[in-house]
Amino acid sequence: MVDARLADYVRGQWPQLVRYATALCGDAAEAEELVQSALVRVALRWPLIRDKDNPDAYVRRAIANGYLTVWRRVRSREVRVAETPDVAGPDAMSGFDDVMTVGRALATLPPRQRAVLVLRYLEDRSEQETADLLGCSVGTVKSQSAKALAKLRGAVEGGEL
Amino acid sequence: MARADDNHLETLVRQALEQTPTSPSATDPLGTLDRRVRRARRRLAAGAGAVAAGIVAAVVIPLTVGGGGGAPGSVGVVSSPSESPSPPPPNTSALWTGNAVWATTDPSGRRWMLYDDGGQKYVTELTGGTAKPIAVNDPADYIVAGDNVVWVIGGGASGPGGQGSLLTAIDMRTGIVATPLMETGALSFGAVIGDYLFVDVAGGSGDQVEAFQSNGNEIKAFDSQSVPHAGEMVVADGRIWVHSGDKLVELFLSERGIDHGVTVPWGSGQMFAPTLPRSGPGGVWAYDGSRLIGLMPKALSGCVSCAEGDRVAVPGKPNAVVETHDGLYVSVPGSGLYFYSPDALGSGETPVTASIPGVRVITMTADPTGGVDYVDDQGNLIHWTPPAR
Repeated sequence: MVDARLADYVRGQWPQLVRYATALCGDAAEAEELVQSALVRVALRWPLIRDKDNPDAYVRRAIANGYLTVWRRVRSREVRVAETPDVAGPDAMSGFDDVMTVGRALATLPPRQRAVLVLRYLEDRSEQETADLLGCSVGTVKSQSAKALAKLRGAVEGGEL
Repeated sequence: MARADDNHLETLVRQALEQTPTSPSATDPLGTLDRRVRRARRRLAAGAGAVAAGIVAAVVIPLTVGGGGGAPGSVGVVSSPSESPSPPPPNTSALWTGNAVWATTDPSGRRWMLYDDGGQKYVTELTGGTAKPIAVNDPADYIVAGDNVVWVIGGGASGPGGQGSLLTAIDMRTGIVATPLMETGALSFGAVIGDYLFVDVAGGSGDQVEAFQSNGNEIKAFDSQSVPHAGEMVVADGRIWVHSGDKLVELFLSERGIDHGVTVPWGSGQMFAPTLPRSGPGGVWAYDGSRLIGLMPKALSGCVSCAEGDRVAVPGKPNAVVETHDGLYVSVPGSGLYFYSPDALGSGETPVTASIPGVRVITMTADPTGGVDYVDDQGNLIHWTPPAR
C-alpha cells in the first residue's frame, strides 16, 4: 500500500485534484491520468517529502509539471480548431457568450500560460505561489499571465478565435 | 467568484475556469494508485534481458504449472500442476500461470522468475525441469539478474509503512541468500554490470544512483552518485544511462567507483532498453511521444537528429521494450504486444510484423531460444514466438 497519509490525502482530495488537472489539460479523462501519474511520482518519492501530513503543494506541483512536460508534447501534435457558434446569441446572452469565448480561448493557450491562469484564477494562488508551483520566477508568471490575458482579450474583442 | 480587484476580463477568466467539470469517474483511485506504484517499482530497464539476446542456451522445455513451496530460506521442488490455464494467444505457450510477478534473463541466457505463492515470494530458475524455488522476504517487487547474482528489489513508497526498501541477493551458483539489506530510501529501477547492481535511491539526502555488490553472505553499498530526479536506467555498451529530468546522465564503473560521464539533453520520454549493435554502439531505445527512437545518447550533445537512428512508429506509449536478434518487441498498455522484424525497422512508418492485441504486459524479457517471455496482468508467464512473415 501507499503510505497511509498519502492514501488519506488522495481519498479526501481526489475530486479537487481531478478538477485542477481538468482545468489544466481540458479533458476529464486525461486529467485523471494526469493526476494518477503525478501521484505515482509522489508516492515513489515519498521519503523526500518533508511535510508528509500536507503533501498538497507537492502533488499539485507534480500535476503541473506532468502537464507541462508530457501533455505539452502530446498537445503540441494536435492542432486545436476553435468551434464557431452556429448562430450569434442574443444580446441578453452576451455575457454568457463572453465566458464561452474565453473558455474556448483558454484551450488554445500554450500550456504554461494556461497553467498560470489556472493557478492564479481558479486556484487563487498568489504570483509567488504560482511561481513556486511551476518552478519559475515571479517575473515569468507575470509575463505569461499578461500574454495570456492579452490573447483572451483579443478573443473577446474580436468575437472569434 | 470574481474579486473586487478583478477587471472584467479577469472575471470572465474566473467564470470560464469555474465551469471546469468536477465529475471524476467512479473508479477506485486509491486502488489504481497502489497498483501503479507497485508496477512502477517493478519497472526497470530491460537491459539484462536484452544483453542475453542471441546467447545460445540449452533447449528450454515449457514448465508445468507450478506453485512452489518450502519455508523461507529453504530449497524445495516445484509442485505439481494446480489448475488449468486459460487458452493462450496464438503462437504462445504458458510457462507459468497465476502467480508470476516478474521474469528476467541473465547475461548467460538463464531465465529467472519471481512469483508469489500465498503471500510468500520465491525466486526460481526456469529450467524446464524441476526448479529450486528460493524463498525471499517481502517486500519483493522485481528482480534483476547479473552474472552470478539475482537481485530482488522491493518496497520503498509501497512497502511496509510507506518507508524503506528491501534488497536481497541470491547467489545463482549456490542458491544462498545473502542477508537482506534494509534501505531507508525508496529503491526503484535497476541495472546490472557484471554483478554490480545499480539502483535509484530516493531518500532524505536526495536522489542517488547507488551501486551494490554481494559477497554471498552480505550486501554492501559499493558507491553512489547524486543524480537529481533519477529515473529509469539502461546499460548500453558498458555505460549506464540514467534519465534525470530532461537529461540523460552517463555513469560508468571505474576503480574509484561510479564516475560521471557526459550529461546530454533528452526531455522527450522514457528510456527502455539497449539497442543491438546493428543500430550502432551504445544505443538505447527511447520514446519521443509517438515513436521509439534508437537513440545514441552521446551524440545528443551535437544535435538531436544526428543522435536518432531507427525511428519506429508505435501505437502508444510503451511500458516495456526488448530488442533481440529476432527483432523489436514493444508492449503498449491498453493496446497490446507488437513485434517488428529487423527488416521492418529503419523507417519512420515501420509496419508491425506481428502482434497480440489486447494483452497487458507487466514486464518481458528476451527468451534465449527466440521470442520473448512476458508476465501479463493475470500473473501468467507467457512465451511468444511471432509467426514467420
